[in-house]
Amino acid sequence: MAKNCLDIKEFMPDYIEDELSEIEMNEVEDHVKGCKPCEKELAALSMTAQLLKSLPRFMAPTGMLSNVKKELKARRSLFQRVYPVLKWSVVGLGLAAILYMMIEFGATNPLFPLLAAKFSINTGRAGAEQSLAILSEKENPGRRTTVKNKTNKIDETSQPLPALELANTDRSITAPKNPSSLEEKKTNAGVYALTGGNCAVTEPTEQVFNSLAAWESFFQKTFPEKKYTGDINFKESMLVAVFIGERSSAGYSVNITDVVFGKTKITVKYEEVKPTGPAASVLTSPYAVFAVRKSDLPVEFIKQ
Amino acid sequence: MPFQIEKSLFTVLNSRKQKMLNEIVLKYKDRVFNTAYRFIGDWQDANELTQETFITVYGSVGNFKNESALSAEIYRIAIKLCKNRLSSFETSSRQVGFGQKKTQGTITRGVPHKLLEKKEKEMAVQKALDSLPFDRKEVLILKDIEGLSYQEVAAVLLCELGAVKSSLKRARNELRIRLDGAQNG
Repeated sequence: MAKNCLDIKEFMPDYIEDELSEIEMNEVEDHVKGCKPCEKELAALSMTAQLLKSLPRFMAPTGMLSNVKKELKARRSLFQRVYPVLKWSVVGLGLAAILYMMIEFGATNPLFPLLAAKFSINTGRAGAEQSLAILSEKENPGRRTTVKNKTNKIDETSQPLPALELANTDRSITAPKNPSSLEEKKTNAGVYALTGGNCAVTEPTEQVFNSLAAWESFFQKTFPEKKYTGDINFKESMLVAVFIGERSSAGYSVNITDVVFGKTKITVKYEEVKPTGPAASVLTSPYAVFAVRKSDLPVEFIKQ
Repeated sequence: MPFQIEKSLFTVLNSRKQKMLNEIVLKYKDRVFNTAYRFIGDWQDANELTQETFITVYGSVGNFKNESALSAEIYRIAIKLCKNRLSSFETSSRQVGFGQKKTQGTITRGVPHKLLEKKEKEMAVQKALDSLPFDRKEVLILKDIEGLSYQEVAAVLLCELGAVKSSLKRARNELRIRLDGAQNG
């Protein structure tokens, strides 16, 4: 079947490139012989292609490779100057992030009870100044926590404030003497204990403090000669305080013996310790303050 | 000593890359330069663009499956750089408000008549080529000047074979019209 001009024009580029089959080549040649416009177009196209192909080829200037290398070196040295700084800053940032996460989440992570205990000691140094003891305690929800204040033996004397300071400054009580006891409890919250025999509260009082503001104002009234410098985290903890009122001699003290987190309430059990031998005849107002895990449940105090 | 290992590995990789770069530059420098010269029409610019092409290629050297992919990538980078350079010419000439881009000066004194004629013809073709739109120019340069096959042109321009053929036909027609116009005018 004879092809029309349109088909032949389609074939022209391939005809010039010699990329047609023999039959197609013959078809183009036959058509062109009898069709002046197509012949003209083919000749022009062929000439244009020929013109372009005959253009001289230019060689790249000498020293191309060395110039490229020089340029690459110049650019790479800039990168190499930045690279070590960049690398070490990334490493530094990574370490800082890990450390931050250990401090931030380590204290609340049940996987690291001992680690948490260490951090509690370190961060509790301000509290230690005002005679507080920090134990490592935190309990999982619904678990029973037992806090025994065995080590907080108060050297009760007639001196009001020194007694308060002497009470619990011994750091050794902050770390459990027997690590297995900590493991048995499986708890790791910081417990802040403030005990002593002299304060401004002369009536038996049982109180809970949920906020720093409330505790600070109470502290100021109760211990007017001292300033609160502790760092209780009231987002996670709250304070339970027991004041047994005025006693006629030294030797009295309060021990919070048990804190039970129940489903509907929290029970704080405490006992009053009476003087065993002869005691100085002086008015005292023993008290005990403990930090426990924060909860919205009502707190019940039971005197044993 | 992990840092020593890292360093030596880096050196090995680097030297391998350097070796590949050497081979690539030696093999393609003339093709890239000729392509760049035909796009830009200026010796110095073509030289700079050729260097820049190889510097860009160095970044991805070793990522190519085969030689044809590498070759297509080299041409593609060169074309892209030429396009950027030409568009910056256009912007600057528009801003300044005068001037054609620089063209290579020709020394005509003492040149035999036939050679002169050839040179003039060549300059006319280059001028006509310069006046074409970029997409026409690229297909003509790759196919007719660089002598790539249809498949290779399609690989460089990332298009179908048919599109290359029709584009080439249109480009040749346009070039012919411009050449005729130049001859008659």
